[in-house]
Amino acid sequence: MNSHVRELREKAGWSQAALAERLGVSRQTVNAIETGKYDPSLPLAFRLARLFEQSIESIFIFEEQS
Amino acid sequence: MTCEQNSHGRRFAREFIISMVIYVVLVFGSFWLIRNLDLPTWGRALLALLPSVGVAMWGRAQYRYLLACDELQQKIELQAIAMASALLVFGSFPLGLMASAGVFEVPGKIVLIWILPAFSLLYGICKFWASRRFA
Repeated sequence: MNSHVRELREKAGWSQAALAERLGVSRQTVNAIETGKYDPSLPLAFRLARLFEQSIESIFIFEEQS
Repeated sequence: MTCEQNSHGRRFAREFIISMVIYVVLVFGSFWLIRNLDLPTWGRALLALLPSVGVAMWGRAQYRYLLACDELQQKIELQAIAMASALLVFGSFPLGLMASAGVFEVPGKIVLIWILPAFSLLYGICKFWASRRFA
């Protein structure tokens, strides 16, 4: 699932490692979320939303699979 | 091990090394005693089981590492364990059929002792593959 996590992170001026530390996950996890290779769990998605002060739906792009 | 440089990765490395040192010492010590002492069967059994202490410590270290990992690393670890288990189970069954048919001879004690090393090797390969899916 694609997301706006990278844009939001860069706008906040954080590195992947810094964001990972704030979220309590590894840098590998942040990178995988940003590249769309990993969909976070609901608690992690909520932590992201709270950190960036946005809704989950505005951060993650849900695409219908045909 | 693809763990990042973090506290639980370092803790796992420390606990793993300690468990392996204990395992090696106990393996050599116990089998030296078995070969050089005239022991009853129960005594030989106890000594033969001693190296399991090191293996159990390694298992505990692996479990603590798994619990401390974040969600993505847990997913990778569990996928690797599942794949390695499946490969070992479904790979060993045809070998067992062939051994039963007399295609080759393998002593049972050799097979039993190599299950854990085979699983460890498969786990390492599968973990590498699983990690690459998310890199």
